[in-house]
Amino acid sequence: MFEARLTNGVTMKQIIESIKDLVKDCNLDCSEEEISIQSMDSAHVSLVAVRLGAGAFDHYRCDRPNALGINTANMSKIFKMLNNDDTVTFKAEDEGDALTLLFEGQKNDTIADFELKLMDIDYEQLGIPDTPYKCSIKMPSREFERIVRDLQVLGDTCTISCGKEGVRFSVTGNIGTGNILTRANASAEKEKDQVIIDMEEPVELNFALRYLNFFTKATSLSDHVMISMSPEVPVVIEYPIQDYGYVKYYLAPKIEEE
Amino acid sequence: MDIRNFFGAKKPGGSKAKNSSSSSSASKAKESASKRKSPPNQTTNGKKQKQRQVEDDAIEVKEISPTDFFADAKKETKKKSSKTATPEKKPAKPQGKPKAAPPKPKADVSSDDEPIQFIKTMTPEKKKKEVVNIDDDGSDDKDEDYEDEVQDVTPTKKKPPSSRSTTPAASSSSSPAKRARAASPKKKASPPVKKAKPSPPPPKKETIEILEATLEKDSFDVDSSRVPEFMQGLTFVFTGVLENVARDDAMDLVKMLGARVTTAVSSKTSYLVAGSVLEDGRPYTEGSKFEKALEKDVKVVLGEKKLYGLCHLYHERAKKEKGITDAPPAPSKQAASPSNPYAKKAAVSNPYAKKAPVSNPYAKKSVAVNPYAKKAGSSTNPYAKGSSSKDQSSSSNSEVATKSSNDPNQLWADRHAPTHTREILGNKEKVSKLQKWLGSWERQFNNPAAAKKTWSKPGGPWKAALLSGPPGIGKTTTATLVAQEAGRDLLEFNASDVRSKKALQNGLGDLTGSQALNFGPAAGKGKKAPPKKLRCVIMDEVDGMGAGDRSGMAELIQMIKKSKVPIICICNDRQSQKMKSLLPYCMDLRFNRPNKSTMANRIVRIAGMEGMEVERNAAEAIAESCGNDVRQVMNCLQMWAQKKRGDGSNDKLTYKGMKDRQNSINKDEILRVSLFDAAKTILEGRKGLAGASPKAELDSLYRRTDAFFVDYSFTGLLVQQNYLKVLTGQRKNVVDVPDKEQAYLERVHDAAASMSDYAVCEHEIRSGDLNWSLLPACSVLAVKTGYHAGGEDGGFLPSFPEFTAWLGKNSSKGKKQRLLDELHYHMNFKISGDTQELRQNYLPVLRQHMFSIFKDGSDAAGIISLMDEYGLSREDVFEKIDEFRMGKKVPAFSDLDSKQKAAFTREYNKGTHKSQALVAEQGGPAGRKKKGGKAEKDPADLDAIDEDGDVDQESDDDDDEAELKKLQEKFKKKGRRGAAKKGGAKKTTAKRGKK
Repeated sequence: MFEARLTNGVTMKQIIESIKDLVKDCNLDCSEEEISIQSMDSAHVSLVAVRLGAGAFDHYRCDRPNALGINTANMSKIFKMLNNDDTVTFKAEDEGDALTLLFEGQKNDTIADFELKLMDIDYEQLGIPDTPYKCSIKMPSREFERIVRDLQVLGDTCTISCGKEGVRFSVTGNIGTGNILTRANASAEKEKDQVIIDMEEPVELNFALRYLNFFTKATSLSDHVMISMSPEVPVVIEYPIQDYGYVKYYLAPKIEEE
Repeated sequence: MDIRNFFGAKKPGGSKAKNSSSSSSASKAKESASKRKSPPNQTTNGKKQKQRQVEDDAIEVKEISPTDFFADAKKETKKKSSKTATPEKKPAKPQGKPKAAPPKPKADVSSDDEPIQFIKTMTPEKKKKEVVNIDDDGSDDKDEDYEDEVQDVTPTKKKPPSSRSTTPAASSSSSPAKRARAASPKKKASPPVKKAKPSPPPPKKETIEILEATLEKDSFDVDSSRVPEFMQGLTFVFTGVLENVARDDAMDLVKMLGARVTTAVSSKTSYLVAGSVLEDGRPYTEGSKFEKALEKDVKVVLGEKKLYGLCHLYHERAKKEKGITDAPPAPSKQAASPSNPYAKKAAVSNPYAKKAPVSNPYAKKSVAVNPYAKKAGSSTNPYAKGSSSKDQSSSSNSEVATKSSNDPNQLWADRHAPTHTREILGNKEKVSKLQKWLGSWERQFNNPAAAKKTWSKPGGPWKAALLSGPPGIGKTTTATLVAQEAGRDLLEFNASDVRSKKALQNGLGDLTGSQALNFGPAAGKGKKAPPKKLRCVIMDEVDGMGAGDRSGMAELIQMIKKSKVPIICICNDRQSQKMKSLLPYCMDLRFNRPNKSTMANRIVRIAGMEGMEVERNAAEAIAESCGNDVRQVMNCLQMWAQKKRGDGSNDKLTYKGMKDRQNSINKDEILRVSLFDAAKTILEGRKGLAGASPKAELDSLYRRTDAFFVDYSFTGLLVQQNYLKVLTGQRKNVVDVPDKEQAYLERVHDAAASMSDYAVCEHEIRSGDLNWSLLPACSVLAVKTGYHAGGEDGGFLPSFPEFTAWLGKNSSKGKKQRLLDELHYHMNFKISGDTQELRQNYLPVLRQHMFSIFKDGSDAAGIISLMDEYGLSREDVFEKIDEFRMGKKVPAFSDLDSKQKAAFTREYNKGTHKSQALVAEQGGPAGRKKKGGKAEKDPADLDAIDEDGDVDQESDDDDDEAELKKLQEKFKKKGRRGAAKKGGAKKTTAKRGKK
């Protein structure tokens, strides 16, 4: 038996929205401590990892680890019906083949319940090594979203280079080139405006802007985003969800152009 | 049975003669070739007497019963073909027998001493004789028989039994050992052979041969045989037409008994089974197989009766062996092994017991679904080890499955899919080529140093590979395995994915430029990064990118150009129009169907793993019936296993059972046949049906009527084109034989009559009311034509069916009709007849007259005035009238001296002419003055004049010519594809109707 009640139901809605473009089917892994999702996109270029700790829920009960295979598109259809201030309750039998979702309005005057059929999805969890990264950048998520959106106009490959002066996002396309440099700004007044760069050595990597754009769908989940890079390994773009979870995206760099 | 019985049957006349000829050993035959034509009668006669004596002697000797000989024979055969190797235990009996036998032979030998010598000296002569026999074979006569005997005798002395006829000669000259060998081959089954019996111990083999030769049976009942596959290890080749049994049935018989049947004679061949005549009526001795058999010392069995006899002999022998040894039941043939492992397994795995919802992604219970395998834009997921996706290709999965083979419902094709490239059946060379290509890909295209990035040149290097070939032969498996073995991350797109331009851009666009996401061993402290994960894209079924995948192909090509990742494309038909644009960008690897013997090995092995026993012949037959489609073979086997479990019968899969049930698992054979083969099937009528069972006859009839539908608009035309060829081929057999000739001519009549009925039906279908319900009647009438053409015994079409000439003829008929109409149009103010009249009466005279004027000298003025009188233009005379010559010999205007013509033209152009006026009147373009004739081709003009449908005729006609040309090209290029469209004026309308 799995049962979880999330007062702030919209968080779940945002999570689903932020992964559904990348991942069609995935397992919602429920364990005693957390709900997590890990899945690669169809092309095996990127990977999404989501974690939502039990602390995020008002009520959380999971008798035994359970993998609920869902289709993100269908899940998202159901969450479309969720009002922003609704409470969500998840329920699933251990051997059941459906996930029950209960949406309760703030004033308790409407209750909607849905049943989502589950799928059996074979997916082997990847062990993601906890590597120290050469560079990590913390910046406002809105800012990052804007940069990606803007650069996409010019081309489809984005070079992220992290150096002393700051982080440079550059793009080269048929119609021209563009660079956006973001300087470290650790002393901004509001915390959410801070840009913090922690760099061991300069790193420069190329990525497909299309994927970065998918990642920015998670912007609404968090005020700031953390980008961690090392040469030749996938970049990590993390959107923390308050204290109890995160949405992390991993993206493989492009093959070097010669 | 007493051998003596067979003696009575001694001289079956003609057949005997043939036998004799067959026995000549190849080498001798060659030597003597030069001398062939002079048969030395004297020597023969002289010998005859002796022979007779010898024969008598021999008869006495013959008292030994066949079974005894078997004992000997057994041994011999064992030695010869170790395959039959019977357990050593038997020796006791056999040995005893042989010993008994020997003395007699010896006697013979002694008595024959002289002759032997004689023969030796005379060898050349003898050879001649033999050869002669071969030559006239058919005509046989006593003399020949005698000769045979003589020869036989001689051999007997030396090496007793050898097939009576020619062989001996050969052997006489050679060392005994050699002789023995030589002798064995000939065993030609003719009655006189019996004498050979005096089998002396050394050439025991021959004893069996002799017996074989002697024994004739009317049938052999496979069901009664108690020893399964007792003919295992023998190889048969068939030639000629057997009298009372269809060749296929005879082949089936020996296959059921465990023997192999091949098509060409080789040194491994044990017997050549010959009918007395070949399909085309020549005596079998003229066939190349027979000659080859002589050369290779292959024994010849003449006629089905002797074949049955042979079967009986082997059967007896096998039974005896079995009886004697008891413990090891059937030698070498594990056939009899009683316990069937299969039986046990049955309980374990009943695929049908529970139909697992293998492919329902929503069914939570289903174990096997890999959603990635099917979802659009997705791929097999290499990280998902446990998944056993339906996709045959994901071999990592099937490997797991094979090891555990837990799921009884799994398709065998998956469970036993190759798990390593070396296990792939056939196409080795292509597999290794692909491996090599993949191995060098990075170096070639992703290496900054080698900036050479050409890929569209015909000679490569290519960034993509294209595997093509028929379904079920392992293309996808190959691609997957090769990629996996190269350590690449695999992405597969197939026909169930959306592959439009947009989808490809989304799905592949970034992928072809990106590394695979890979969390290798964490990067060390230093610079050492984990190795990049390489990937590989498989585009399966690219020829299936259809209308729904808009611009998909173009996008794919663009991607190949840019790609930093190898792309393996797979298709069935690389000739397809859709593939044309892709071909230049891909390395071309054409996969062939693995041959059936390779497949048979694997089939037997896999069946063994599944606890099923399968005869090798049966395995080959399955492979054949599935068109060498490995996957389908697996499915068939599984189905078969299933059925057997259902029945509770544990029999192993025998060739016989296979044949009985083949219909239920056959791929629809006739649909795999080309148009031409279909026509041939129809044309040859009852070929091979002599003596066949009613069921076989009926099957054949159905097959022929079905064949008509391979392409119902063309088959009839091909039959029409070729049926007379079948008939003329038979003429030489009947000419001057009053009864037969009469019957023959009646058949010609019948065939022609049904062909004409066919034409009536066809006309009804194609014209006017489009009465398509007559199509089945057409099919039957075409088959009827073939039946009459072939006669009771079926016909033989000596060569590949000719492409129908009707299309061309019809087209030129249309053209001439049109020209005639034009001429008529020009002349009709002067003449009163219609076009028929014009053609028959005016034109010959007119052209004759004009021609004579031309010949006389250059009275240009005379001709011109004549032309003007009739309103003819220059083109009319020089081009159109020429079309109406009868025969090539008639002189043509176009052949006239060019100077003369030029002079005439100048003269003609000076004046103005009626024909030009006519054109102008009709509103023809002024510029066309000189080409007055052409102007009339304007349909408008014609419209004005004839309104009785000739216009249609003409426009159709033009279409036809173009279409015909296209068609012919198409057929030349790929005669095998039946998808032809129809040409022909008559048909153009019909076609519209069809659509």
